[in-house]
Amino acid sequence: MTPEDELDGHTIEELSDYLDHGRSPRNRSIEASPGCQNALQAMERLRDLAEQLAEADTEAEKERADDRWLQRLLAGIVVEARPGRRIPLEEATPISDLGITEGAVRSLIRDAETDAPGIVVGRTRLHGDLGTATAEVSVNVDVGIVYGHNIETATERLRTAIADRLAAHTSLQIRVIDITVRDLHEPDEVDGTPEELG
Amino acid sequence: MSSERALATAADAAAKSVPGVTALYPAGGLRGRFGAVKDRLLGGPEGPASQIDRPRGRVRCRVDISISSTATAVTVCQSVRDEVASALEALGAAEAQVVVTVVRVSL
Amino acid sequence: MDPQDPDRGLSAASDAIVAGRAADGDLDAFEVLVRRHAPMMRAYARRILAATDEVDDVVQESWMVAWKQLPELNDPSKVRGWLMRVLSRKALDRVRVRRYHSDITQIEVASPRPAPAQLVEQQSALSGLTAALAELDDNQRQVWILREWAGYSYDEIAADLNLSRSTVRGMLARARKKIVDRMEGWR
Repeated sequence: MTPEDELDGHTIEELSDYLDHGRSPRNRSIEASPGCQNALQAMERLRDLAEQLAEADTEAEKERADDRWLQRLLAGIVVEARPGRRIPLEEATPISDLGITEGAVRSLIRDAETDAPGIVVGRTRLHGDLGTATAEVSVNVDVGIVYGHNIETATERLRTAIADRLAAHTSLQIRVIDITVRDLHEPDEVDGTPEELG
Repeated sequence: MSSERALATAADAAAKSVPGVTALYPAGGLRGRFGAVKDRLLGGPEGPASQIDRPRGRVRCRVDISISSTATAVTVCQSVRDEVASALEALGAAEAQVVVTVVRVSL
Repeated sequence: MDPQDPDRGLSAASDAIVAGRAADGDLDAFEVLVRRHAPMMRAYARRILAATDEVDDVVQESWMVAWKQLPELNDPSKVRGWLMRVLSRKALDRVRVRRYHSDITQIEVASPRPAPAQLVEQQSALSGLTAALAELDDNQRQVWILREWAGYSYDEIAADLNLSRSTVRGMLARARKKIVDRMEGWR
């Protein structure tokens, strides 16, 4: 790189810092110095190359990461089920206490996507006092939608499917079901044509 | 009164006999290697599930279950509670507290 | 349920959806996430650790931490960078232990053993960078990787490496200069 004595009084450290701040605020002395410009360009090229190396490394690993490796990796990961809060199904008595876990309720909500083609459910949130059987709760659901599906139809179907499932398996009073469309994505390669184009 | 193990075994059998119950889970949580937990959730081999303890001298029995999505959670839980309570009573544990939790709905 | 099940569309969904779902405890979504990002994490671990035998352990440990801490991730769409950070911390723990067990003040780490596919890497610039990286000392290489690959801020690097911000700043500049000088013929 340009030797420090050709940097018109600036240091490599200063330039490296300047680059990381997106060359902003503009430093006129640095921008006017040919030596500094050379050094900055070299560092910028290096940054591009770093990105390329990261991509090449990852691609190489993808080739090596065969299914056996992935299976071994997965098999060794210790996980704990996430039950979440316990939601009573009716008022507890000295001899009886019936409930359903928040985790089970979330999986019910995720399962509602089977009735709403084109929707993939992401994160689910239950807001309200889950400690009482007939609590008023609002439900927040993040979803992704496959291109080609009508957003309004799909989300309306999902809303109905969620309401039905919650009514069958909990005693909660559902105040509102908010659905946030996080993104649109391509279908799976194995996915057929969406049912309802347009 | 019968041993805790005998009570738990009886409770397991009673809970399993209820229509709509698809599996029993170890009361208090599921932890293990990814594959094992996944298998277990898909209905893999079961160990003893119900948990018996005696807070303040009274028998308490905790049962974690999964139910069929075509059943109704509260109805299934009520039947499980009734069956388990009478199974425990038959072994001398009358007025036990039965805690039933749906941890999964089989889809 | 099979995560590849065509009806689910899970493997085509974005990180925001898949990570959010995994945070809620969905094992299928977690599996999709592992399949999607494990190669990137392995590549990254290989560069930081520069020792192949520990790479897979660190990747595995990172996923266990990820499973536990996913619910705390506020924006699931940022899961990739977050995973890198989880992995860096695990990898750096290893480096620290290694350093502790050594009498040598300056550990000379062998150059990262390249993956087979990298051996046939055609682009000389990339091989040049690989060689230059191997010649940096441990800390410089880590600082550089955390900055250029994981996009850490100086403060984040300082916190994770237990260094002052100004040390990080200096190390990064020296790392860049060394690499550029080493690759002088490359442009």
